[in-house]
Amino acid sequence: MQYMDSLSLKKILLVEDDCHLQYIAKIALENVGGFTVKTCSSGNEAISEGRNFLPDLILLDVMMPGMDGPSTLKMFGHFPETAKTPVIFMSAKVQKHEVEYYRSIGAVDVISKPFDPMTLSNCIREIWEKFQKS
Amino acid sequence: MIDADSKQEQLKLLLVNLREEYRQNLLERLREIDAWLQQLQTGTLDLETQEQLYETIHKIHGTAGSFGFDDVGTNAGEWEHQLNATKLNREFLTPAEKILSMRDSVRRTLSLLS
Repeated sequence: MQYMDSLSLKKILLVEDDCHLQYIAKIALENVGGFTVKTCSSGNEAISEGRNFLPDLILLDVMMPGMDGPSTLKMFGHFPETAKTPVIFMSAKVQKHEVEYYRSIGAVDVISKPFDPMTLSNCIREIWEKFQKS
Repeated sequence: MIDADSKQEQLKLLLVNLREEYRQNLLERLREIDAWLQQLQTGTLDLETQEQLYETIHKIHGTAGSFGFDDVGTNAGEWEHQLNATKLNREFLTPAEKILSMRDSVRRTLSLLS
């Protein structure tokens, strides 16, 4: 069962405005995790690309210029293509009340920044599997 | 055919190169932060650049550790906290002694990376 859950996670939409972090995360997710990754640098771009890419999962930075992570998550909910796609936030602000807030607005979990690129894929799989069982 | 170990080695090499590229960028950003803090100290940093200062520090806080610069990320987290603690509306009303201490910390961080 765990194997099947892992297999079903293939396409990840990565939304991160920092180009360095975006690049290292993409490389790690593709090379270590074997995922197909589409990157976006803003909330607006993510809304547009997400509807075409149809990701299994969205990795979303919280603090971005323009439309921030929570606003982008809300927008995803307005489109049938992304309304049910699980979202994991990435944030350097991960105090208990902040994590509770992210979950309260619909994120399935939060990955703390900075993350270790070599373990990022496993971390995502664990969250994905937990989410599938919930 | 590339086996898993060799693929892992290639990835590690790529990460080493990315780390160096990031270090160079970090040096530039830290010099920029130092200059902005100097302007903040003299009251000549406009609101838009104050926001840019905060965003730059926040990014370093969340990113440096992923490239192996854990101490830099931790220091940036402290600068972010210090700036945030003095934010009134959109403006950072950071006391002069705090800015001085942040600049010292930025310069120490710069010398660690140089």
